[in-house]
Amino acid sequence: MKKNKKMIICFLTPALLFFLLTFLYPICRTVLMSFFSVEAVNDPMDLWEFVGISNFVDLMNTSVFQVAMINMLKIWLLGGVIVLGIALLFAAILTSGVVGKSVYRAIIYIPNIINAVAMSTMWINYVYNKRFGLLHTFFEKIGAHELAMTDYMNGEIKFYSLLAAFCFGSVGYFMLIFMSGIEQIPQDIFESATIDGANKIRQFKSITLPLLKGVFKTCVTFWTVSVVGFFVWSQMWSAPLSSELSTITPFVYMYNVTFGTVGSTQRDGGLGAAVGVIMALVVMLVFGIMNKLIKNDDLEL
Amino acid sequence: MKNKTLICMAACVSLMTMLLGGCGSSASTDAPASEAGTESTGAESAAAEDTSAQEAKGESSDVELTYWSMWTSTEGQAKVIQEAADAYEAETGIHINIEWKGRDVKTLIGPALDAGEKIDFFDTDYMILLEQNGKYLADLTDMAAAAGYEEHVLPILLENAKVFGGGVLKAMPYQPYTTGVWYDKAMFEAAGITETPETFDELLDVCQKLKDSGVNPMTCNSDGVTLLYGYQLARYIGQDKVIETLDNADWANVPEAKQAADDIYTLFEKGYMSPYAPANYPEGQNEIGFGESCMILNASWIPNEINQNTGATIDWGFFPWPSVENGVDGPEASMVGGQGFGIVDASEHKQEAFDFLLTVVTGEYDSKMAETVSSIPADTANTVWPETVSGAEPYFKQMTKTYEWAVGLENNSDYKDFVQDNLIKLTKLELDGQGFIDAMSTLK
Repeated sequence: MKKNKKMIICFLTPALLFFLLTFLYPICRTVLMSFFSVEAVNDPMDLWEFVGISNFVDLMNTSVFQVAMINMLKIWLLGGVIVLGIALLFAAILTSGVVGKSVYRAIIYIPNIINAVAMSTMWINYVYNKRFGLLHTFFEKIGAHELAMTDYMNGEIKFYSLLAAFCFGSVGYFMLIFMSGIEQIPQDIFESATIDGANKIRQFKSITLPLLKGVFKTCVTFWTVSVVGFFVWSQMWSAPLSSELSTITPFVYMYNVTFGTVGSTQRDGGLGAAVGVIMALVVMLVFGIMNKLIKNDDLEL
Repeated sequence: MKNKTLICMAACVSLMTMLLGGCGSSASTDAPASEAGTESTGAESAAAEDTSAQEAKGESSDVELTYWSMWTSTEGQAKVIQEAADAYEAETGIHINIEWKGRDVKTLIGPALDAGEKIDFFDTDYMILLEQNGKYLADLTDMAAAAGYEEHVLPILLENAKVFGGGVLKAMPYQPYTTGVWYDKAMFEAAGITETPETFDELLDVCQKLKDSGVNPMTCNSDGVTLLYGYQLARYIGQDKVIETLDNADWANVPEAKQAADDIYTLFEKGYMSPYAPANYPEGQNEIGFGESCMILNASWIPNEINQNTGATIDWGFFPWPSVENGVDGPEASMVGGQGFGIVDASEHKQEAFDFLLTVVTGEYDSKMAETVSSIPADTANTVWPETVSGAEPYFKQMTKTYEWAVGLENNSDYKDFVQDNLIKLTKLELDGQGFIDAMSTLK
């Protein structure tokens, strides 16, 4: 079919102009700002003071930013394995002809349609509360009084209580993506494998997984984007503080340095912009690595 | 071919028009408003001159003030401000358009003003208001002098407001707060305690008596550990030295830093703090409402929060954080803060805004605000404090030294999370005093 280039240009131009206005300008401004010392993000450019790459150097030498990066990496790696693993398992089960597929799918997806603030409140107050939370009540019932006293909202364990809650709310989304990928695989391949004597596990390992490489790449990229933008959950876990060491992430640190905190009115928009630039680079890096590692055009279905 | 090109161009233009039209719809609806704004500018001086006549008649005015509020419409403070705005409109005919922005107003206000948003006044924490947004604010000195406003402001707040404002008055503080130890008087009585402690040793005695009576003497939220340690250390060496120690990570060379850590460790080790402390907000503070714990070191909004969270009707007592042996600070030093209104310098109706705000931060509505949210009245002429916070009144009036929040321990955004983390470890008894100092010394 012959493409009408003029028509394409005409229909794309408005969207492109709007993209340039609403996305490209802030992106350019943020990148530029990261090389300057700027107090408030809305300060006019004549107040900016060029500092070269010192914002980036300062960040690399700032302990709290290093902790934030490590926290983010832990969420990405541990959470990624848990979320993508469980999502893939659920997707494989639900596409294997299990009865009540729609109901299970809806139940698992429900946490994704609930606001992160509401989900956090639910976990903090009704699961982790050490006075009447689900875990407290359960351990009290089975006589494990020491465990019932566990404080899930303080110390080292706080990070893992946050991670568990975040993973719980993320599985459904990735499960749907995996399900959609699995359902695109022609059934006759599975039928042939069944005739050849392959059981379900063998079929999953030899057919489903290799044919889901492209979907897996998409999921890892989406997961990276959501982890890099990790903010609300961290804020909820440290409320009413602006941050805590065990749960701080780069975006929370960026918010602190850009807008100040309860105890400090000092702001540094340039440093905040540098955090934003580094986070964007992290996403691009992961995307690049995934593209190198996984080629999704090996097999044409 | 020509027709095709024309169709393409027409499609492009109409799409652009639709997109722009969709985004710009407010411009058309705003047009009458901006025209009205222009008219009101012209009528402004006349309106100002004729204020008294309008007051008498309650006529409507062309002037409309826009207020970006730090409150949400359901909060007690919002209800009082709305009531004051309605009364002001009934009296002067000047409508106040209130936008309830919530606490995020502090991040929104700068870009909004830079973008030319018509805002006449806004509010937030008075320190943030002045230090972050001072460049947008009008100097209120003349208007304040004409109205005799300064006589109504608590001296310590007025002094702070001027310091934060670079030597001039740019804020109208309201809803001030102080910090200290809030306690349940009934529990003190039940434990046979008749005097509030003035020294740290006396505090330990009080704690022992309360513990013997079967309650947790003290409790705290996890965000309160910086207050506990900050106060204790500042009692030994004063706020300036605390901040200096923090900035230089000079903990190992300040013996009082270890002593203060040992003191706080003692409170937890001897079981003078709730076994749940430091608890996640607001579980720690709520223990007092549930009758499990007796005392908490926190700001003057705590009694009201606890009463509201738990439905308790506690008879609250107050005493300042006690002094320590060979310490430099005592009950005369405390954290003091408050909210503040600022009038935008670019506003065309600064006088009207000031007149309205004067009715909020002084007199009847200041008193109503104090009663509604159990806060300290901002107006010195309002001598009756709400019963919930009245225990702090004598100390508040004798206060001569102001501490920053957490005595400056949360000043440095690069360190504050480490400080808090190490204090949580100290209070969980995972670190002792020396361990805490060692951990803090690594924060270079």
